Amino acid sequence: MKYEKILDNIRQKAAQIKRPLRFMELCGTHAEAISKHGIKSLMPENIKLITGPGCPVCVTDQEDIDIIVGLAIAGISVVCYGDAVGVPGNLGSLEEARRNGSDVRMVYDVSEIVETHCNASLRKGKSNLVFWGLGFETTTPATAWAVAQGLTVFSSHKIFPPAMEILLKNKDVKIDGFINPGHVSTIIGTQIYKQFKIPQVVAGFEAMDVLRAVDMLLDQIISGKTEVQNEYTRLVKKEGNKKALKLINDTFEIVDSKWRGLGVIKKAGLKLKKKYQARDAEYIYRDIIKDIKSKIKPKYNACRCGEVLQGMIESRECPLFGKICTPDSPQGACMVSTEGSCNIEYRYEK
Amino acid sequence: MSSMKGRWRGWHGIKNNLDKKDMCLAIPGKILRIKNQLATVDFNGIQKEVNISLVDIKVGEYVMVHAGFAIDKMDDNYVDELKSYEI
Repeated sequence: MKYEKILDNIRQKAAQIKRPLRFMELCGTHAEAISKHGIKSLMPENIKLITGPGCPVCVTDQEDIDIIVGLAIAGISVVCYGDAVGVPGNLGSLEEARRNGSDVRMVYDVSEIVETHCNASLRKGKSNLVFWGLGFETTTPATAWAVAQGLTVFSSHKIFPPAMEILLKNKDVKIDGFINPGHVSTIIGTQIYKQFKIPQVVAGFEAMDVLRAVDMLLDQIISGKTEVQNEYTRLVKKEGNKKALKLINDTFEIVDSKWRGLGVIKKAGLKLKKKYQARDAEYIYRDIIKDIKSKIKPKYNACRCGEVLQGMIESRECPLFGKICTPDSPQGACMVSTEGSCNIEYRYEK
Repeated sequence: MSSMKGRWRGWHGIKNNLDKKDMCLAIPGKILRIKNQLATVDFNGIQKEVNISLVDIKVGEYVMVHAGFAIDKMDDNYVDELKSYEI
């Protein structure tokens, strides 16, 4: 379907519905696609696209950041994905720790470190290198694979659907439909979303995918349905990726988890199972971590990342945005990651 | 429609994307060779080793690659679909 045609459809359907509608996307890559292609500006007046807690770096709790930075400062080698190194914590960021002499390495792919370090260190039988496992269901299987290869992991992994439930319960956030994350859904499938009685479309990341998702959400609203539709059929299957899910279940146990902005969410985090205790940084370095936690003095920060993550305010409504908080000098997580809504808004819309 | 920049414009930027180390980046590619858990994947000219332990895949098929891992197989007709995103 051509762009003009689908935009016409969206305009007609929005006019038919009349009332204001707020659709929330739940993935940083969707936020990026929407900004990059100027999709918000193409929407009819009564459709507002809002950003949810879909950036894993952004929703990672301050305490996890402080612990991992503390471990790096304590002399333990820390390996992580590139977008996590700049997140500021009470002890500074991993990047600052690196500049001060700590061993902090970035990878695009955890197997890079498994290849170069893990096998050699296994032969020596000792390793003081920790991989910071971060992300939703899309990166969790890779971490699980790395654990199986013998890598030591500090897990900040999160499970996405429980956060959707919290958003729906928040009376300060009005949501008329979700654009569900395409690549998280590749792993977890589409059926798990059925528990949420709200129009939902699992969507891909091209401009056309997002427009089709909006069109499908409008169809659901007009017909009074609350279904889970799959727009991203070229990749996402109903049952998800069973191999990846099995690997996750074998390696991790589900725990309550603190999310930035959303607080503690029941059954929304993943920690290593006891059988992998010997590879669990939280167990191995428990004394150092206890020490780090006791010494943390939270600094006051006017950053409103927590509200941005719930779609309660837009990035530009934060007093720090674009003034003292920029991608070069981020004051909060949402400005650090290229998937963070403040970073995206700064790059494309400021 | 000058503000609409989203049409499929080939594979520009993929090299840049592969050089970045951001975790949430996903790129589709074609399987060229398979050796145990690793496959050589072609991202339209740029080849990279990808871990395929999460998928059942054959040479010639397309996968979505996320943080160095193929997270699932893509429909064979997906390239045609992407190319159809013309304004």
